[in-house]
Amino acid sequence: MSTGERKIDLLQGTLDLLVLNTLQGKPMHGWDIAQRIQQLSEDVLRVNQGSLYPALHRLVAQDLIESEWGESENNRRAKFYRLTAAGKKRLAAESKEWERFTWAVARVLQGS
Amino acid sequence: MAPRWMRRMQRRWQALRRKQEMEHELDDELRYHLERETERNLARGMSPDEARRAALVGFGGVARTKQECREARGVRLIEDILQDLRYGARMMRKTPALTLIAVVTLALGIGANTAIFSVVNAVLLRPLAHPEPDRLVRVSLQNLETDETHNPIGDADFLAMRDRNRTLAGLAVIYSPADGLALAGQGPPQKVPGAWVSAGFFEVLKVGAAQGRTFARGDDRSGGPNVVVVSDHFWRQRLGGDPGAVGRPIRLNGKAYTVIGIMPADFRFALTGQAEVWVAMTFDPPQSRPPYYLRCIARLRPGVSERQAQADLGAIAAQVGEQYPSSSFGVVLVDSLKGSIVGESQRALLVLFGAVLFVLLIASVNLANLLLARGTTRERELAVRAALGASRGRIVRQLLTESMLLASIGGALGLLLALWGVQLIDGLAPSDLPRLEEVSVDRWVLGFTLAVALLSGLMFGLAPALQLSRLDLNVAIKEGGGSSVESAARHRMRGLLVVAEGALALMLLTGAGLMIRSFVNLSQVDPGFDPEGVLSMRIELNQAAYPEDKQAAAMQEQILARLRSLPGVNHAALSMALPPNLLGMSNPYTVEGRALPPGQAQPVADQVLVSPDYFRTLGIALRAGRAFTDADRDGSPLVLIISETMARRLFPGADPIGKRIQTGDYDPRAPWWTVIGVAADVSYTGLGKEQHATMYTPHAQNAWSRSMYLTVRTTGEPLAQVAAVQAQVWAADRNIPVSQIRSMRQVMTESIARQRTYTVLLGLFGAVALILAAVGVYGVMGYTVKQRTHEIGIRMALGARRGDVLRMVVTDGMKLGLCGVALGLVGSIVLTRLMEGLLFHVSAIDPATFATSALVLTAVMLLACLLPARRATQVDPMVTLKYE
Repeated sequence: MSTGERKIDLLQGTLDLLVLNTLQGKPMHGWDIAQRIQQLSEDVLRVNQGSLYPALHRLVAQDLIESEWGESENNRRAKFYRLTAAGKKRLAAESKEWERFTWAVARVLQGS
Repeated sequence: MAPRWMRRMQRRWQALRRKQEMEHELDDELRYHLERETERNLARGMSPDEARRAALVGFGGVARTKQECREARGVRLIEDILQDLRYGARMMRKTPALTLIAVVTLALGIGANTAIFSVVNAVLLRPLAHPEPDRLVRVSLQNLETDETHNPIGDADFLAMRDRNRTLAGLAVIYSPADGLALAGQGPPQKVPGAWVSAGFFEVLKVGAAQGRTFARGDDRSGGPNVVVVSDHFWRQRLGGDPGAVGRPIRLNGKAYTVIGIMPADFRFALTGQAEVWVAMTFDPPQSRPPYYLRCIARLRPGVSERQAQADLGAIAAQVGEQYPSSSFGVVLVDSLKGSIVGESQRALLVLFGAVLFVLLIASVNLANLLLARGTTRERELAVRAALGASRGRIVRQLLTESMLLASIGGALGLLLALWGVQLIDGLAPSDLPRLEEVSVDRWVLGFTLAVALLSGLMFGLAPALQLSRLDLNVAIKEGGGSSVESAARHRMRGLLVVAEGALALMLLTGAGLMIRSFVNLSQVDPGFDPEGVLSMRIELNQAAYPEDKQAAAMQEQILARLRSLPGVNHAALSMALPPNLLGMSNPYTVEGRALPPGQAQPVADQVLVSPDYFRTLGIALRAGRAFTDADRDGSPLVLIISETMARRLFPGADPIGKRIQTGDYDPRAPWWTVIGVAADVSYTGLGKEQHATMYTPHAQNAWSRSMYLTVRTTGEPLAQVAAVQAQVWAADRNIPVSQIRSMRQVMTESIARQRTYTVLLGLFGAVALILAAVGVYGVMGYTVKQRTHEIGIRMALGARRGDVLRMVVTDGMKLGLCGVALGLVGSIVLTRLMEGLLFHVSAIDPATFATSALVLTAVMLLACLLPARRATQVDPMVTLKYE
């Protein structure tokens, strides 16, 4: 809202990619992940919090990330997520695929 | 690290087990999120209430999120299945009668299948229980003259092949006398099943002794040590489990032997059957090539094929043949030992297995019908489910889970039945079915049961499930339970099931019918003698006690004289063979003036050594000449009686009496035997087998055999005389073992026991198929009548008479039934061809059998239609019309 433009809702596949990307650094809990995506996209992308958690659980089920309970920065119990080796591989592959996709779409749009 | 799918399964399983815990964790996780969100809102200056509400709104539906999380974890499927199972169990309890019928039908079907499969598995599928069983082969000779294959071999061939082959890791021979070996010890003399084997026997099989040792090379040479290896059973039962049994002496056939080894409890070898003792046989340098009495087994060297071994051994046999030019046994055959053990039983077992599978198919079709009918009463329930959002797939899954549940329970009960059935088969099956003692329920059988149960569950569950899930919601919910108009598709499916059932049942019926006709033909074969009122047994004189033939002959005559004096005994005789299938030996022969040049094979005939009264005792008619008398004895002219077949073959159109014949290898200096009579044909090689030429010679003129069949013709029931006869034998010599005591009627019955078992089983399956088909048709027609009550009521109100209604219902049912019969006839023509080798004097497409089976099935189906049709005629139009 700070930009005044309409925020973009994320599609499922895209959300997965962003979650994986966000977890590249240190382990994070759900709320952090949502905040971080919003921050990094300069508030253009809105993470639907209702779909974030199912996505996290789905990624765990697919072995792409794993979870662990730990202390949050304000000393409360929180569930932290971390990328697995398979997750890293998937992230690399999906990022590349995404780049190809956006490049191709940009080409088409420019061409018209 | 565990593979990914395993970790995934593990996690799912954990998710299921720690359901409560996982739920708490999910709560905690989401609560933490909401708290953080609220805090942030507070920090932005909202009031506490506002901050909290904003957080919840931003989150959007906590309950839905939780559900989505659960689904994402992948526990839904398992939870669904558990739910379906619980639901299925509830449904089963709600309809106990149907459940009972289904479970019992399945248990019987699956049980019968498992039992038969366990036999097929043990006899046909399982490899022989010896190391590297693929290298074990049978070695046999082909008789060039009669073209008979798989003949035993003689000493000369054995010794030559053993010593000269270049393709075998070992070669051994076996001789197992049908009546076992005489064991002397405490109490009355008895026989133990046993076999004579050459020293390499255990080496070929690659088995060692549990205690002591097996035979060593040289144990079978002439003058070798008299040694014996005994079974675990023998050691426990007869040697009292003596830990020092190895080295103990035992007396077998009147000779002392030393026990050198005890076999492991699980050692069995099909060719020596129930043997409890294996005696090292000794070989003198052979004087002639015959007699052929040794069954030969061998182990191929690694990398050697059966064909290579056959070429190798064939060359050796040819050399042996050159040494003995009159021999007619030329070609060596080498084939798989397992194949030779399984032999003829293969076809019969496969036919039985096919039949029992058909029974299960019919049972499954019945159950499909039953479920389809029940499904109709469940339409409303299913419709409500569908209306509440259950997908078609979900409903199919639910219905399939229910049928799988039924099938699993049926399978489990079936397995229990099979355990009992295997014992039943063990008792019922003919004792000559090979490897029967190996029948057990192993993991293959368990796997088969599981597969059959699940497949049948799928079979009888899928059709109704697909049908029922295709619902018209509006109709179903409005109409509630008993919809009066059945969908056309479902009606068609029901019809198809009846047709299938009829076709399957007819194929089984024709199969069973052919088998029964064949068996009747077989039991009506004229055996050539009169089995009624004749007692038979085997007695054996001890070679050591009667070293001279004369002594043995005197003792045998004494026994016969004692028996003749018994009240109730008319005649008594001794013979070396017994009809209808206990041939003792066959021998080459030469007709005077027709001697063949050396090198050409001599013809062979069955030879039976008999005492004078043999023909009278067994009631064998003499077609010409006279029978033997007491005057035909040692020193008097040599005489011979030939069978009708032999007379016809040798002297067509001429009188055979007075012609002269020599038995054994031709020798110009040997004496001639004069034909004094022609006896009616008697079968010694099995009822229904091709009639061989047979020659009888007086035992008194050639009394070399110590082991003979004793036959007694009695005035009353022959078995009532057993004790008296035995007492007379033992009064003559109390060391004579008496075995195989049976009436000739029993001998006849036992000679076709195998065919009877197959006939009984196939007949049983046919009967079950008929009953199942009748029940199936009855169920469908009954259901149809119920569905059409209203329509029938209208018809009758409009003036249809009872006869019309009856005709209508029966015609509807019989249209389907006859379709099934027609299809079944076509199927039978294709399938009964597989039975050809099993049938005796009946064609595999015997028109009479086909017609009878079709008629029987049609009649039964007609009956199954008539009962519901009669109910239809009793419909009261007033009641039905008001009811609607």
